[in-house]
Amino acid sequence: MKNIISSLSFLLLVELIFSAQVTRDGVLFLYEDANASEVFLVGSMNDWNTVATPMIKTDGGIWEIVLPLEPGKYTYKFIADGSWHFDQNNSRFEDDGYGGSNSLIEIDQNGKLITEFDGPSHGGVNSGFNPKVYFKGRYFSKNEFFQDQSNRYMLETPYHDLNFGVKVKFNPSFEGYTILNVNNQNEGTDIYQTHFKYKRSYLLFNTDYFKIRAFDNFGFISFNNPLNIVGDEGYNDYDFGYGFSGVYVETSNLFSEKILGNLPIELNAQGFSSDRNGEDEDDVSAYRLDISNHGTSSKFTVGVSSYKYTHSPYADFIQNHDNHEIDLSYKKHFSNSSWEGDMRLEIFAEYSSYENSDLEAEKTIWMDGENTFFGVSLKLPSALDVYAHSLSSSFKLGSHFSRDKFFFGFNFNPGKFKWNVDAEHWTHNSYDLNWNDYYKYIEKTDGNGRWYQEYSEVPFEKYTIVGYETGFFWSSELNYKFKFMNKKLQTSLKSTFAHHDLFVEPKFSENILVLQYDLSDDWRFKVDTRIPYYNDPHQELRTNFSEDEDVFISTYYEIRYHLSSSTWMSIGYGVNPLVINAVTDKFYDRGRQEYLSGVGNIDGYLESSHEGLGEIIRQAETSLMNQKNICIQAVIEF
Amino acid sequence: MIRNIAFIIIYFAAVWPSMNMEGFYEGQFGKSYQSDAFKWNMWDPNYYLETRLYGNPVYNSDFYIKFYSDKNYYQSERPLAVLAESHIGFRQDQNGRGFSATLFKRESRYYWLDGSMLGMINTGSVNNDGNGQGVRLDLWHNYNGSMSYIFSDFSQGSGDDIHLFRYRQSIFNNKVHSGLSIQKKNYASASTNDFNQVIAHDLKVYVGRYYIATEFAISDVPGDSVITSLNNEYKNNDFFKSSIAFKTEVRGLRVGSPKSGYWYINPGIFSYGDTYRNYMGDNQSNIHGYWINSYYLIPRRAITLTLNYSDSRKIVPDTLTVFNGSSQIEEIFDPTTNIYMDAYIEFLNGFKGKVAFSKKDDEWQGNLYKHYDFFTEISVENTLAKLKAQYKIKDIGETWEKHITGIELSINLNDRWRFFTRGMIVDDRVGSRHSIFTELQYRIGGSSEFYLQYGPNYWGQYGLVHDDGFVSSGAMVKELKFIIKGWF
Repeated sequence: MKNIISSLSFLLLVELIFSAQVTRDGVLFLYEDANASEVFLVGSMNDWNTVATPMIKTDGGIWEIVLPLEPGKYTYKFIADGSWHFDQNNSRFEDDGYGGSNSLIEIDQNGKLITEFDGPSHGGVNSGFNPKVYFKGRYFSKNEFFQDQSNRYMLETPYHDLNFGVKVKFNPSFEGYTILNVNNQNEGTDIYQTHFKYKRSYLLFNTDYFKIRAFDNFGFISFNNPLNIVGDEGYNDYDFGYGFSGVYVETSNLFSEKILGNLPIELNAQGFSSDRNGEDEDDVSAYRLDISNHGTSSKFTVGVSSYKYTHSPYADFIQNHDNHEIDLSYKKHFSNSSWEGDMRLEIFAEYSSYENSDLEAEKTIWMDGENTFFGVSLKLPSALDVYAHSLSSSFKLGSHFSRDKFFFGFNFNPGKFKWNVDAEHWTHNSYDLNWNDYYKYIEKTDGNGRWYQEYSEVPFEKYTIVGYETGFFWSSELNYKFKFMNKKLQTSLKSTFAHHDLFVEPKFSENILVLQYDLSDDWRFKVDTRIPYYNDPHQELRTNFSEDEDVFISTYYEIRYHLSSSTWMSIGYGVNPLVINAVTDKFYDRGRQEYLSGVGNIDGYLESSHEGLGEIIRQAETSLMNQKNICIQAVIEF
Repeated sequence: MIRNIAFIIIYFAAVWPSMNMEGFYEGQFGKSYQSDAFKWNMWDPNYYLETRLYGNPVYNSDFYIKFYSDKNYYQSERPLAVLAESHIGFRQDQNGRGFSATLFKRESRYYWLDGSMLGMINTGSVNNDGNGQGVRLDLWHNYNGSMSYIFSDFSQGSGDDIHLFRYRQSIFNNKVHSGLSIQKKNYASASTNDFNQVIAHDLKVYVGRYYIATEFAISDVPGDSVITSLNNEYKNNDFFKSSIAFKTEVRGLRVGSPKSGYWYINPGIFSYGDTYRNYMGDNQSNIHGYWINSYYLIPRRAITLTLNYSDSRKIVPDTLTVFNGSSQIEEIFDPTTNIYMDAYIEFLNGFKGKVAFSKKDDEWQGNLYKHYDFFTEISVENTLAKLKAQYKIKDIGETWEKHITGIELSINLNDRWRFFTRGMIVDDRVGSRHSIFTELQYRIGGSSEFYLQYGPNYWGQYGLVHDDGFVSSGAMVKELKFIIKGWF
């Protein structure tokens, strides 16, 4: 704790910088909206042209654009899906003349940003303690009519979920953010007593050289080694931080410049220490250091990471998971004026080893393993990305286990048409584990040694191939947009196939066909159909469409009044795929699969047995079919 | 004009996205005189913070959130931020055609529908005493018609559903207004028959200065076998005893001349059948009657005279076996008559006076109960002070006759200080009771003020001598209270 306080005190003393960032190529503008489909930077730098400066979406829902700007003052806003927003990360404003405000940045002759604390000209209180308070939130409500025993459609208790965020910007470099939540159904109390509960928060120091974030139940950490020693958790690829509180530190570009001067080398460091919420003795800490040479068209990186999990289930007994890795990557861009775009080649390699141990009177290593990863990806100038990865994993848990896994995929995007395919094939070599250990250490955690892992690696689509020595899983997503009667029609077909080996019939496949038609600028019609197919004689679960056996087709029809990606209202009928992810708070369309896994408690069932799974799945699918309802839902972000 | 103003407000609300926060904070500290032994006992200070957040971050949408923190030791030792009311709303209007849709939680105003004389909707009933939540949808077109549909869930207790529908249409240059209401309460049970449904049609016609309004409703409770069986019997024999209700009113009738002034007379009739049931609104049944409301504005005098008369009785009588030499069945209709008259006078210099007499003869199971009341009031108001004095004799001539006197005085001492006092005395055969409340208010400025109070502020707060709570059993309570309030 003393160390943390010392670090924070030090950071308060270093020079404060503006929230917009200066990079080698210009000023970096950032806007956060994971749901937006298009975002533009609009301001005095582009004569308030609303379409001239589109921003680029990056991971984590961050939109960014770098503009080389001359010294001077610039006012700006963002347009996200047609809605105007000021920059919430910028505490400088100027009256826009229409009753609102524009965000303001000012660049001095040296190319540095002038903050409101740099001089007396801004007026107001010239101190580091002039906080600004922002309220952000999202309100989602859902009203569902289910058919009761007498075939009447009765309204269930309406669902209200309200996230209310309070952000306090104490100065350009220090801010705090807390989210409170009300959810009448999760709370399970009388409606007049539903109250706000604390949900998550962070404190952020953004200095010249470091960014330090104290977080609580905020998932945002991911190390970029190929195997993601931190982050990429479970089949939903959660960033690390959900369910944990701790402190995270990362260096900035300026830090690298300061240390290495004009050398063409970048140095980046990340590290955190955290504690699982609700558990005193359940800690995770990890560190990463990577060094890159920064050429004009190529980049070579060497990284090392370390990860440690410590758990003490009772006094004087400690369980540890230690993981260390080293990774290499090489990225090269090729360009040619006659090409439509750049070509990019990336080659990766990683080696990691881990051990799980108990520490009582003495240390006992009860499991140790290693992973070797090779990968190559190639982005061709026009429309095609391909990748191929291989992963060899092995561990000792009593007996020896090893697995070879091969990944392959491509993304083909020539314009209106998009096709994305991801495939993986694996082979388990000889091992001798009971079912419980097999499921826990191989299937549920993907053989990564993290026996304590909270989020399962087994999505619903893979349940029918759990337990086989080989497996082949692939998914495909086809998207095609075109005009129909002068209105936009978007079609997509998401398919997943689970085989227990190459060149054999799939045991399970799922096809989700989505048609979305724009009736007008604000109104959309959507049909979302899920067609699962089972072919598992061992589990006595076989779909026969002609005989109507084990057929579980569900469709959701929806008309949506769509004002923006975060503000809409809809009425629908069928089995609704849209839910809020309980971990991330974000909307996603895996509601049906989540329901199947939850109502069948399939994960819990598989921990003890594999036999009888077919009947469990059948009951879950039947229950899902009965979830057909009339649904009116709306969401608004503020 | 109002329509134009409303349009301007809506327009600007839609054009400029905004978010607002407002609310108020109140703290109360006080002592009550517990007993001669304990004397002044300080009760737990009470703190209340109410916050309202609303806005329209995207055009044609809006939200509203109201939450409060109340120091309530029954729920938690720590004050909670309770979500009291909220909604998400969407609307669209294109050339007089459009819609609005609102998903609401615990907001009673979304149950309000216009135009029912029969009291089709009682907000407290359909909102489950403030705990309903659901959706309201309004549609309108540019041919003077509109529709409202509300559905909601009794989100506490049984889980019953409410559906309220109304379509309204104006024709003949707004001279004729017609409306259709359909409302249904579905009970959470396994039977399709477990519901209460009321369908009504209302018609309002303007002919010159005359106005005629009528509403007709028919109800259904198929799950109640007794009512259903009785209703089937009535339908064949006596339609007005069955599950129908109607009310008709005429306005614009008058007697007199421009010189002598006019006596305006508004008569009406009503009937609620014996098997009429409306569990979502005014649930009267087995009663019919009429009323005549009238008033007279004396020319060149600021005097208004009012005279109202009403009469009602049961449609299907109760029966009583009486022994008058031999056993006889007597039919009891329990008639009720009401006469109300008052004179309202505005004097010079802001003085106003009112004298009223009401006479209610109410029979219940054959016994007559008389409620004769006399009331008089004088009041004066100017920028410095406000005075109101009332005197009422309740139930004249009965053994429970009461004489109630009340007085309220408010004086603005200066821009910041205000003095207020309210005193009430009630005399009856048992004895005399009184209540005195005194308040000193200081406006601190910046939307904040404090109050120093002595006595019970609740007696007479909503009607002075008409406060039945005080009149029946209220008494003085010695308490001293300090209140501070702030708005933001």
